[in-house]
Amino acid sequence: MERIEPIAGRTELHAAYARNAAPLFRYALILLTHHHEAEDAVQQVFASLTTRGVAGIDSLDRYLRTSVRNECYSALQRRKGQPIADGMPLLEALPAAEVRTDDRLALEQGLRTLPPEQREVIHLKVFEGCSFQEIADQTNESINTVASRYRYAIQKLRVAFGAGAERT
Amino acid sequence: MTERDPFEDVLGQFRPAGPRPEMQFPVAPPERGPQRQIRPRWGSWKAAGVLAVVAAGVVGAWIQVDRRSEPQVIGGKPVVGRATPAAGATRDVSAQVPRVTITGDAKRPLKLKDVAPAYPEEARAQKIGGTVLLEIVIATDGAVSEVDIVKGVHPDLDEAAATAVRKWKYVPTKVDDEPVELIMVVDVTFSARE
Repeated sequence: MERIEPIAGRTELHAAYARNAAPLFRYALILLTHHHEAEDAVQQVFASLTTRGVAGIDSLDRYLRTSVRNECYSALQRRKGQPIADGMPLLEALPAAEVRTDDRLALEQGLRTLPPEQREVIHLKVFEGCSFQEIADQTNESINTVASRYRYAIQKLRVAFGAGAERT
Repeated sequence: MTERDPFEDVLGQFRPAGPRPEMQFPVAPPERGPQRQIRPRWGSWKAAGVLAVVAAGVVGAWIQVDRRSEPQVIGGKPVVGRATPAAGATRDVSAQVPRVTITGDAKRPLKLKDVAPAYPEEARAQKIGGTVLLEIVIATDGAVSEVDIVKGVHPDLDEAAATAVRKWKYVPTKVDDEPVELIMVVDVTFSARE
């Protein structure tokens, strides 16, 4: 494991931003379901590192991911109970996929109604391809909790998508 | 324990939307030195007074002009729906600009200015939410020139969505190096259950 020394210049942070900004934003977007708040969460983490630096951590990328996650849950705590409005889509179709806008909207609607912890598991499992064990390590939860959250989330999304009725 | 659900294949056709290109590495605010207090002298007060009188005149004139150019309001409420051409514009002029329609999830023009919709207080209190679908026309300068509600949720939410969308700005679209007007459907979501 690499050891990160105190960052004197901003070269390492700029490189880390180029490498991580997009995936961190996607992670934050799924947690917060709001574009501007997700941007703020990512930029807040980098802005904070720019001013105070970072030392004595094993992996900068992992540190950034944990910081963004903490920032997102703090934002969710601040906003608790408050409805939000966003004029940007939550999901986008992969380049090769041919999907209908209605399907995307149905899934987005389903995702928005999930608790953030379940959205997080869906994101890490489906969109990032992590195993349950990796998700459990990242989120400090037991593997059984992660698996349950995933199962509940998939059930709700399937209903939202309308696939539940078709498959039974 | 099986880890893979077949529904993942449906989900796997999507990914979370990417960040806007405007999201750049944050710039730290410049450090400020100790601020020096400047005491105004009598001469500068006189100059400030003259400037204030001039500014008041200019603002007064601007307010008069602005009142004359107030948009027409029908029935006391702004009209939401297909926008009509601005006064003075004729259909002949706009008809010369070809219009192109984008359907489905095809690649969309880059959004340069995004304005988040304001959640109407009454709808927020009643926890009314949903996704408003709007058909917009992007003019050759990138501004949203027409807005039409395709699928509404609630009159207040529809109006809030349309108000925000009218302020959006995109990269103008060209086909064969010719500027075109672009028609596409956008969605604005109001989440009441956060």
